[in-house]
Amino acid sequence: MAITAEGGLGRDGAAPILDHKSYGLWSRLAALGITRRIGMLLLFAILAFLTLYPLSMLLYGSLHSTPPGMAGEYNLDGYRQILTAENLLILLNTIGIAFAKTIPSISLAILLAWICARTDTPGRGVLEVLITLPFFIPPILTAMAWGMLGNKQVGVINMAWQWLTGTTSSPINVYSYGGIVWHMMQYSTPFLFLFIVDAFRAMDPSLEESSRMSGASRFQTFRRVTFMLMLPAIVSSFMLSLIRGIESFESPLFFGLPAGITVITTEIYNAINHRATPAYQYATALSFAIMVLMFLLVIWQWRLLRGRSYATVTGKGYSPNITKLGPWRWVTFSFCILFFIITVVLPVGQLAVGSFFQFFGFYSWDMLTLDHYRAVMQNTDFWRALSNTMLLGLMGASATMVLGGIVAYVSVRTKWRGRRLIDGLAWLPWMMPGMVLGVGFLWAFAMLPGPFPIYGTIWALLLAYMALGTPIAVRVMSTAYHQLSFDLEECSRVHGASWWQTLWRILIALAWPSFAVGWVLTFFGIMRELSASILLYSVGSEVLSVVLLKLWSNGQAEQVSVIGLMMMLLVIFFRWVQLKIIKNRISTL
Amino acid sequence: MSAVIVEDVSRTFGDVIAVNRVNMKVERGEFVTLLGPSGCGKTTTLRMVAGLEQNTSGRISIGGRVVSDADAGFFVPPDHRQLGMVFQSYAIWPHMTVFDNVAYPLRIRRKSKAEIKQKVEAALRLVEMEKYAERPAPALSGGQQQRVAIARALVFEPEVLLLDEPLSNLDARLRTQMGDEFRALQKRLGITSMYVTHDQEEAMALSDRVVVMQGGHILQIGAPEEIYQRPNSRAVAAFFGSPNLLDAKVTGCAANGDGTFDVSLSGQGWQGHARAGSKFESGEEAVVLVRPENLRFANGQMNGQANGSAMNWSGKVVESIFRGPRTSITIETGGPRLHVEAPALLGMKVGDEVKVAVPEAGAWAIRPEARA
Repeated sequence: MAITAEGGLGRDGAAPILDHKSYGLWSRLAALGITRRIGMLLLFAILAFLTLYPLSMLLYGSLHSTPPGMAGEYNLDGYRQILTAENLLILLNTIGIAFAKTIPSISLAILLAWICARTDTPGRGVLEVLITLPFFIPPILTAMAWGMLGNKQVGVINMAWQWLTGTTSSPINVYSYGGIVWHMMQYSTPFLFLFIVDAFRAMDPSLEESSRMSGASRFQTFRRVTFMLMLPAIVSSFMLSLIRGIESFESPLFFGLPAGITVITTEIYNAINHRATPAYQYATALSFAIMVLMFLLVIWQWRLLRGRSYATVTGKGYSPNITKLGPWRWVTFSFCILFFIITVVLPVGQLAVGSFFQFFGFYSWDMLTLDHYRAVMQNTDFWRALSNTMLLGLMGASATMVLGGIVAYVSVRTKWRGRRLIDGLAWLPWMMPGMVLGVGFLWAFAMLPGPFPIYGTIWALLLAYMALGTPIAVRVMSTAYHQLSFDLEECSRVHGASWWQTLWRILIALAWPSFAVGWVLTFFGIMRELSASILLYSVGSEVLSVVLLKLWSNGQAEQVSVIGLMMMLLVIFFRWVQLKIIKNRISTL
Repeated sequence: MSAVIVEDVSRTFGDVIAVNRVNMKVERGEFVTLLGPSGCGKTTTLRMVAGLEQNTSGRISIGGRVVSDADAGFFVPPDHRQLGMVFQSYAIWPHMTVFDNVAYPLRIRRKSKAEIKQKVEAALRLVEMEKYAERPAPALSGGQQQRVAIARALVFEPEVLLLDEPLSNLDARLRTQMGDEFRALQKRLGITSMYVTHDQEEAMALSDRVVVMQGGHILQIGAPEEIYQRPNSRAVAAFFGSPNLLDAKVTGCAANGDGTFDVSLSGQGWQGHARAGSKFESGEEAVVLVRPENLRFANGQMNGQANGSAMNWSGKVVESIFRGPRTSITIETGGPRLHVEAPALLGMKVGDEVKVAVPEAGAWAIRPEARA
């Protein structure tokens, strides 16, 4: 009998040889986890520099009486200055506008998501691509386009109205509360749509079918089952939209400031950029206050969502129930097309038209010109900004995705100590508006010791973009890793591949489509970024969005149109590449 | 020489002891199954042999070479253990073709192109998947993925083949077929195999020997018939099917000369004989295992010939469930309630008065508590 159940096999029995030579050093190091610990420490240091450091500098700066890098004293003046009646109005403006845009956006997003995921509306696949496109267009471009479209004197919409009715009144004025909300809705609706459409699609149809079998009508089923199952997704989208609304900078900058409407982000911007002496302490205190507001919102979101996340997303490929709309399907189709025309065709059309006419607002044949294109081509600022943006986009997207991929790997695929801390740090910028992070980095870079002259260079922007992009990068890569079973990795290890070989041949090979998608997303994010860039750029390190804003302030709407149009083409090209990748790679897995 | 030796191996997760001082040896060419309910530590044991889990104490050797020794702080990572493994989910890499999947272990080992081609083709032929070599992996059915997983695990002629519930994701008919095919292949190639399952029938049908585990301990190791007919504890007996376990008192015990003992017993309203694996003292408590299919109906003409039987009862049929190939009958005697698996043709009805008997080979006495 070879096997004995009652233990105590002699150690001398089969005389196994301890073969320390071949695995000695490595296996010992691995067993002690030294390499791993060094790696974790390095990761922690990078993330802390990107998030904790600017955050603590924000607190420091809010208590410090002089601008960054200068000697001064500590006091509470900054916080005292916040507590004014004007700032109460600013706070109410900020929150009010965020709510005012969230409610119609989310209703519209639910409707559009339902149309695209659950009805037989013709061309749903294409419609979905068209509806989500505005999300990828930098808001600064649409803001400028709508600034032209909705101009009280020479805006196309008002001119068309006057031509149609024969009156001289101008019903549309984008420089108003309505204008701010209208512009925010255009990029927040597609963003919410992206979240909600997946919740609609991933639902097990048998959940609804069993409701129908229990005697509920189609509408009752929607109200009591479909909607209720989607509620967690809707609530979290709602909160996200609210947070994004408070963070938003472009819309209040373009449509609020001319009308005298101020929100927190524009107030911070004003305090630093538009006062005779920049009020750093006040701006920093305000930034810290908005962080607290964000923090409260996030806690509220957690409380709302606690225990409510039904696992309706099971990863199985369901084919959801499709509602047959009959002739109504052309109504829903037109509705989607209308959304696309308003959010994409109109602003892009305006940019295209604006770029070819001598003066914006005077459209006649003899005004056609290519001068603006020539002017832009000869504008050295433009070329420098373009190359800066491209360089930052390529480097930033790559660095952010690599960092995000590693953080996601550590937090999803390992049981290493400290992985929760890493995950938490990487998530921190999620609730930091770009404006606030910009202020934080302003202090952070100014406080760096001599050998690190980051302040005012392109590297300052790179680090800020990485911080802002990391939460999304981590999220994209965690989702990708979650879908890959551990067996796939373990199987490779058992069959002779080392940890590195497995990482390369299995994990990265399987996750790279997600990496590519995340890369493009981060690239878009960098290209559209304005609020942190406007604080951190200096001469020589301008990016496209900053140059656009400068040209706009100088009244060169025509050159803005030219650059805007080029950026639009770039966006559409990248979006096309991204969709290609998704179609060819991800759908086959 | 033994292919796998597991000595005093334990694995703890925090306060939980998943595997508790396990010892076993697997001989070359042998097929050993680890069997037990979920959470019994069988998969953890297999994963420790694979190197996917590190044992917290004890020593594991593969092919005469120590691969893990917790006390010496020595651990060989899985990629240096020369093992093949088939996972419950098959773990077919979805971004590769069938050929690439099977070629993976060889490419990692930097074999020449020609050798890879020849060996992969041979492995695919072995599992009858040579026609599918260029298929992308996701386009395979469950059974085909299973075959590819086996080919991949065999292609580099590993020391030992590890299988973690490989059949549990297949439907019943395919499961039996794949099991039989795999057993034939294993015998033909003489591959040393360690197999984990919770399915008793699978374990019986495939294995040379079965290791029954529960709560992190090994309860018994033995050939399938031994485990089934001559368990060493009530837990092992109860693990297979729903046996009759009858409480009794020992009235006498005699050695049979072949290592077994003949025990005389007296239960509630019955008396008889049973075999046992160890000596009992008179007056000791015992549990008698009688498998439901070993009980015979002693009807009219057989009545006088029931001499060879170790014990018999008379009673009334209280329940009869038709299961197709057989009928499950419950009999109320004065003492114990008996479950009988009878051929369906017998046509017993509820209320029938019957006599049942069990031959001597079908009654097995064990001590009430599990042996330490």
